[in-house]
Amino acid sequence: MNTLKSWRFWVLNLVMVGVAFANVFVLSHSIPFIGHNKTYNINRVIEHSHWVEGAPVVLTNHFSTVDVNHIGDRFKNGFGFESELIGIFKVHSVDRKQDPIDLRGKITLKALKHYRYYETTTHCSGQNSKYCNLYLIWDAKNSAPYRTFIGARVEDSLSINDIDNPGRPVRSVKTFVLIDSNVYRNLIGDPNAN
Amino acid sequence: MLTEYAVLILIALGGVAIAWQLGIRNLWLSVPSGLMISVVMRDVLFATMNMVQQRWISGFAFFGLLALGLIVSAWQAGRGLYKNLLLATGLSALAVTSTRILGFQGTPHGDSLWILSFTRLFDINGNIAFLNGHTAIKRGFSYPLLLSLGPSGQYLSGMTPYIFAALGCLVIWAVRQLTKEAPRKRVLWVGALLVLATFSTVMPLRAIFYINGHTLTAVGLLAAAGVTVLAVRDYELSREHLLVVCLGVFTASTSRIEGIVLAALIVLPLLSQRWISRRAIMWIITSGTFGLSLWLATYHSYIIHATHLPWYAFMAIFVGAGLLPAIKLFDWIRFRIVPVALISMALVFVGAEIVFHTALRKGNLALAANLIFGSGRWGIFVAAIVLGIALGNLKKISPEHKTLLAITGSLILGSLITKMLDGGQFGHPTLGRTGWSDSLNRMWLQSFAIFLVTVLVGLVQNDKIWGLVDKSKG
Repeated sequence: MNTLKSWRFWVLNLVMVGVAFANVFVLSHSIPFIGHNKTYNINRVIEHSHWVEGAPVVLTNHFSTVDVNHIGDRFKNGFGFESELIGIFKVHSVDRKQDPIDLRGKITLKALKHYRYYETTTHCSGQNSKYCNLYLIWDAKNSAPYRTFIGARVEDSLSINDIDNPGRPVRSVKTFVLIDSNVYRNLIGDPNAN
Repeated sequence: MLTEYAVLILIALGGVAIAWQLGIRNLWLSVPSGLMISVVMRDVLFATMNMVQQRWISGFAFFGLLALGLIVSAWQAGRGLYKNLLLATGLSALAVTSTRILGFQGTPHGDSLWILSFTRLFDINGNIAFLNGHTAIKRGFSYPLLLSLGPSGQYLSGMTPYIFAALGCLVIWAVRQLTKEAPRKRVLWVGALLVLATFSTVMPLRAIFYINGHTLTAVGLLAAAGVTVLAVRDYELSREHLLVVCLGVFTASTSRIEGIVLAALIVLPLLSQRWISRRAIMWIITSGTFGLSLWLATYHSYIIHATHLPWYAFMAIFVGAGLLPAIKLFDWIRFRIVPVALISMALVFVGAEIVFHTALRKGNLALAANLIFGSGRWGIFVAAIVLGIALGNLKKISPEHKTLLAITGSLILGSLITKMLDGGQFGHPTLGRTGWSDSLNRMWLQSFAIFLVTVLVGLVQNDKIWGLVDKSKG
């Protein structure tokens, strides 16, 4: 027996080492996992990850009772607000009967960003991308734990989803906001005025 | 952090101790078996307590039984158990250290966050009826239940690397059992080459910390595959191995929705044996059907609602129907089921590719990009597997290698077909996509360990690779 005289033995070794070499040094690769994590609280993990479905979780992380209205239908003019997460994270009530209020031309996203805000994405329809931008906006000076958030649409902005993926062309997408009703009244007026 | 150390070490030790009581005493098999025993206990206790609206008891009962098992086994086994307990303690402590002290965490992914959301629901004892939709059923049952055993408000972060470690132990067990007669040098050489090829690839490394049920499914599938291959080779299914295959089928069937299909494909070579007892067939199949129906019933699944049956009637019919293959009437087809299944799946796959050519195009392109051109983060790992199989001993094939090849073929075809049926390849905009997170691309995590064992056994058994020329030809 002479293993070194077997061509099969050499092919096996060369290919396996070649595969390893190519995997490590030649092919584009991403890191398999991330280090230095200190967050294990599930609610915080979700908030830090800016998840496309995460809006109900973030709202209930900050306020004990949350009511939401003017969400609409995500397959028409509205945006996604996952019913399972509403139940799991105990959003008090969600009213989807009315579409988001159209605030385009009435107020800018820049003006709303003077308040405390959380930037994320959501599912929506009626454009090339299935992702829209979503901003949760509230008044940090107000200490009330009970809040009502009103869905509204503002001017389109550059896709957060595209910006987070280097190499992808950045598109302009529909942009929605969930505004604390107190902020809404101060800036715009009565949401039921129309 | 200390809570997590205590919890995971208790799960590991309790599982190993109960496995010992049940006759599973092999060192490398003890850790995965202990994990699968924990899965069964957690699922059954949670589901049972859920039926009587007392879910809060299930966690206490789970830890109580583990502690009891540990105390009784330690008392009875004396020094005989210490190696298994040391291995379990070491791996669980290492797993928690990696996440809690070194701070490693999995690649962020939407599915992981869904699973953590369900984990949160279990943790706060919330209303399980929220899980009746399509999203929940695709994220599994056992895995979020295990994660929910962490400190209040947190997930059991060390569980995911511990599951990967259990998979590693299972690979070592399967390789040692299947290459007992082979020279140790060959096994070590090929093993080292395959370790090099595997851990230079991103996806297997990603599986260590990635929060999803794939690795737990892989544990169940490899356990079932290992026992199937050994039993077919030895014409014998020991009580210990019957228990392991049942644990494997249950674990796979409750950790991913496609798990029961893949587990069924894996145990077909065993179920098709003429010598296997009807009782063993019933135990193996019921492990899958009972596990899946328990999961569906607990989640108030839309699948049960669609039948308009009460959950207990659905369970009874599902489990009962699963017992049919054990009837003598079906013996003719049972004895021939492996080639029948392989040929049928090949025909379905080829037929679908021809008939639905346009609809499947996107999925096929994504599959090629992900597996061959690197987008799926598998590098050129597939080349190592294909070459490994091609260089294996295919002329004088041994029974164990033949069974492993049949299982490998079934898993490849089964994975492709289940994703077709799931909509993955039929043009759904979010599925059949290029990138590591494509669901079919992640499904290979469930079977890559079996592929590695298949390759290793074939290479070790091929004398020509090792310079031994067959002189019998004259």
